[in-house]
Amino acid sequence: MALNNDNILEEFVVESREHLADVENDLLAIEEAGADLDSEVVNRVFRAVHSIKGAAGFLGLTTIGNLSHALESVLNLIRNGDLTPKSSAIDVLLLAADALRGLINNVHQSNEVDVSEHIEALTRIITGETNAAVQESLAQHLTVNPASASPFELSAHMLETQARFGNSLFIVEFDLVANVEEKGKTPFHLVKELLAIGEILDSRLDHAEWGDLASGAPASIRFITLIGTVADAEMLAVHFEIPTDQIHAVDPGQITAAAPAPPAQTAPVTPEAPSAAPVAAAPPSDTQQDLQDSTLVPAAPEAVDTATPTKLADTNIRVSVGLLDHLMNLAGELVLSRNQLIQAINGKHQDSLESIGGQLDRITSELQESIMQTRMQPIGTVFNRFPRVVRDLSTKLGKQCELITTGTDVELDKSIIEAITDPLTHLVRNSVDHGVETPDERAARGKPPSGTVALRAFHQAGKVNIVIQDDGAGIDARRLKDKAVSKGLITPDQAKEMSARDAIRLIFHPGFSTADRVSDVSGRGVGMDVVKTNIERLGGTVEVETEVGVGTTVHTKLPLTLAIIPSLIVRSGNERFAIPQVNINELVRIKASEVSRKIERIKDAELLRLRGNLLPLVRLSSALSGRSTYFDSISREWKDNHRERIADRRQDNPEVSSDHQYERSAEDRRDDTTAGALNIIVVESGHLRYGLIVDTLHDSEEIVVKPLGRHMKGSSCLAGATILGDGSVAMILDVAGIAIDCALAVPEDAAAEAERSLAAEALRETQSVLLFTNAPTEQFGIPMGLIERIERIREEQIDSVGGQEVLQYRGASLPLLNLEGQIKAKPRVQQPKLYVAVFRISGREVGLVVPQLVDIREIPAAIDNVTFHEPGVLGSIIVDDKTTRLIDLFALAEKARPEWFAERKSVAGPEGNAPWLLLVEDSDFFRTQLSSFLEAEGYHVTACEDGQAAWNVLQDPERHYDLVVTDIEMPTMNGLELTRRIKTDPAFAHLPVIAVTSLASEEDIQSGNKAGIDDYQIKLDRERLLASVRRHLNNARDKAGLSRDAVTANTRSSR
Amino acid sequence: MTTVLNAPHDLTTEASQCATFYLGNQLMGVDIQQVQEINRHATVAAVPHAPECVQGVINLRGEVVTVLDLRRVLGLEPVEITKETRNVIVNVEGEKLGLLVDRIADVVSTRPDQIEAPPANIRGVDGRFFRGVCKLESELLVILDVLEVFQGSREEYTR
Repeated sequence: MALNNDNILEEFVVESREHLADVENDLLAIEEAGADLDSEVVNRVFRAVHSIKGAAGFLGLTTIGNLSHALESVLNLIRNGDLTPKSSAIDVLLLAADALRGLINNVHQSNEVDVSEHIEALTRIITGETNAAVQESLAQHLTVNPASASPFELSAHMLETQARFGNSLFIVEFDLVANVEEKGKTPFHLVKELLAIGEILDSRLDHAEWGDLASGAPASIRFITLIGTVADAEMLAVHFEIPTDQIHAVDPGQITAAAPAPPAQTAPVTPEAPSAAPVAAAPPSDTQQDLQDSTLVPAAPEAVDTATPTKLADTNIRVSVGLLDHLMNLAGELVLSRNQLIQAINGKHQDSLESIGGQLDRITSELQESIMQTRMQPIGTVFNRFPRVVRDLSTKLGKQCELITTGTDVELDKSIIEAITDPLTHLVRNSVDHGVETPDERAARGKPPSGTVALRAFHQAGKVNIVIQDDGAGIDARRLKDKAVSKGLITPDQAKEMSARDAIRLIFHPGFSTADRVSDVSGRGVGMDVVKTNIERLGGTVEVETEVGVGTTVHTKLPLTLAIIPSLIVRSGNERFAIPQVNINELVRIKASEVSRKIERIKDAELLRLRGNLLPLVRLSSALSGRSTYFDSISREWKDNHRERIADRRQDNPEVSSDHQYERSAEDRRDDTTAGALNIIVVESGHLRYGLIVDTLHDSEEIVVKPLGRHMKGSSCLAGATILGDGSVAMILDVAGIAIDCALAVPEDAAAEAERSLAAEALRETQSVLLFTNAPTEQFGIPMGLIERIERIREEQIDSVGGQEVLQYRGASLPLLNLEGQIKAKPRVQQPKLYVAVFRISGREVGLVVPQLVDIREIPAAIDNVTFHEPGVLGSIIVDDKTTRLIDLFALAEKARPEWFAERKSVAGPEGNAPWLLLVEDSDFFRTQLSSFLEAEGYHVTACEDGQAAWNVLQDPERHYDLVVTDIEMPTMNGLELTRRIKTDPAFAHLPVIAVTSLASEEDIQSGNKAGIDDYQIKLDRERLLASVRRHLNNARDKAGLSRDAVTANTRSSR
Repeated sequence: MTTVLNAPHDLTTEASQCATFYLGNQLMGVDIQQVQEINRHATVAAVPHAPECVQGVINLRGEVVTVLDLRRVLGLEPVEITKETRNVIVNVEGEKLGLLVDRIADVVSTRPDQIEAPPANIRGVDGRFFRGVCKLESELLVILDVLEVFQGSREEYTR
């Protein structure tokens, strides 16, 4: 019997930690529930602690056993309803659970730790908060006198509890050698089996039959337990696989009142020589201990806080057997493939090599994926600690705060989980400390007294997003600026010019703390800058959004794993580099002929005009060659003295003079600017986006990150190295580091200007529009929201049937429209390949021929709808100095194929009155558009230009509206606010509200639904909007209990 | 391959063996305990922004190992790659490090009584890089202090 076996101890630590993991949150749940307890939760905590106690007793972990016993006693009272836990009691329980966790983490020294304080506190709960009857039954000791063993003791209360649960008592004897060891079980299994079937009231190893330790392993060790269970003797025998004569039902006659136990007898044996024979040090039945008597705790010499905790659990990970089997299978396949490969090589079967290669490729990726899975852990393991953090902190600060966590099952690599814990804790503390206001402040602002901190985790675009959101005071940009000025971080002038968004970013500045008072909570020198650095080190990003008085949202994005990262391999000069895909936004190739037009220069900085924004450019070659970042095209030279270094490294062909070679490569680069095409990788790190110019793009590869030696620690441009398929080494670029190294704030004016114009654009409404040309000189646009997809086709796929063009497409015919047939436009240029934009009208797919695609662009909604007015054209706008006509797909289709639209007519209600619609839209263009096609449909329309005006119109008693169609973003009163008012006013609450937007994001829709918006439609998607209007009008009528005949007929015809 | 111990012998008290090589005309050696292997010179990948004396990195059976131009570390002219050039892989401070040398020579046994403390300077090279000088019959063997080479080559890089 190797009870002191480290493996068993290790298993105990791992399991106990798992048990304890949920205890904290369950205790908090118990606190919240108060008197109306969820017995399930209490039971769970009880069983967790009970399991620890049971196992600890077995392993001779006296202190852990004593503490868990004391905890269990209190929980037992709660479970029985004899004790209703107050907050103070939960405090004690939480602290005791912490102490228990501490003991388990430091299991080897646990017996020397003094936990009497906790046990006393727990005892005080029992004495302080239970009634006399309970206390008496606790104090009354009974003795169970089994026939074959020495007596067990238990309190009368325990007996009552067992009776209440319908448990009967049994004494079960195990032979640890015959019943456990020889069956391949560990004592741990035994404890688990016991716990599965009942509760262990007491247990002990029988010392009498121990025999002589010196004579070697004893032939049998008797382990006697007193258990309470609902099972009967036969079931127990089957369960434990032991003969029935080892199971004795406890006869009530065997239970007698005990004399008060003398303390000396109940004091646990202090393990003087734990290493010698821990088995012998098995605790005497710790349930005997009198709770009232706290002196029972062994007087440990000193707390051993300083001892290093055992790292047992940290180095272990639990893997599901299914996954392990899968890995095993893959390993088997791998071996088979290797054998095939060896045969193929030996037998020179060149042709089979390819298939073996493919097989190896598949197995390797599956293996990689499965191994990654073993490392994945749910983020819940981190989130679980936050209810406690929030509770403790808000109590301390006199705040009320509720924590809501969602997405706890989102999985992340173990290493990321570990690394993210501290930054997340800091962010959550920040939300409670700086974000949520005190109840008084909240009341003054009309908020509920209890604040909310929401913690969400979800997958998006191959990354894990973690959002920490509070509904607190928000961050005041002005205060941040003042603070930054007073700290000398920025000058007053800079502060004046700084945008609110930039100002918010100040919190990431090293040494910046927003709290007016430095609390011990957040004023510990660990600032947001550390959070940011840590998250970025993991390849993640942090962003902060805030609104004063409403709250703050911190958005962090993290990669799923760190070990293997998909990367793009590029070449610059003679070397290849890897850029992690997560940093890459897009790839842009500028044709040689367009370089001069698209690349701008401001002083030394090169900028790319990309979809109307200026993007700073960095030449990778110069960024890596030294500190001068830009090639000075005017003096035509690279100024830095690092050129020699680059040259010196070209040792591979020493016959070439290094200087000469350098000059030549510089020449090559110069040629790039003037003659060659440019490959630009648009990379992003945090808020910074820039273009990296490289010489050549290679493949995308999954690379394994290898650390670089210590000589390279100083290089901020490199994130590590990797070994490519051909065995050569490539550096992994650190996109953020390059930006810092190149002092990318240099084209500040341009960037700031770009941002300002972006911000201004964001205020105005924009439309995402596909630009194309029919004839080369004429540019057109279609709103992207309407396009289902874009197909690239060959000219010969177009058939002309009866004067109509159709596209043979996936075995069916797609009707095609062309511009020149319907509006005043030059005919398209004949070319072998062209594009078709597919959209949906009247339930059918229709294609519009768009011969040459130009770009997809955000354009403002300020559209001129006078100059080029004709059916099929919405209006015109200037894009890149070109007049661009916006196509009205529906009018175009209607003009081309009126028969598609013939079916749908008459929107009048059963009384013959056309419904009245209230249209709210601030953009003149859209207002005209929407109202004209709603009117064309037969509705009466009243149009207003903002929410306030609409609200006023609604108050008119003369007019009853049937439905509201509203924009969201509007001055004075926005659509959300309008909807909120409508839905909360009993006079209007019945009105259906349909929101129209340019492009609705998931988040917009959520906030809209909250406000009460019934439906979302895209502004220019006339079909869907009309269908939605009809549907909601019908629903409203149904609700009003009107005749449905006419209405349903109407719906049917319209579908 | 034998396990390489990191700690070099104490030259002044115990006999030891040195892997020796030439830098120019000077015979130098490192304690054989610290040498893992000696390779032909393979293509190195240049590392941007690395210290000047870092020749680059190589793929040593899946491990990325820094290769130093030993001549530069010692303040001599940069190495010229020839057929004789060898890459001596040493273990230092738990890291593998490649040292480029001009030509490899024999393994030499040294006795404590042959060792003398290093002079302040040998042929223009700072004495701090040497652990001692061993008088062989025909020439002087300078024993390198690998740890000092490792640290010195990093100090040079200040940013």
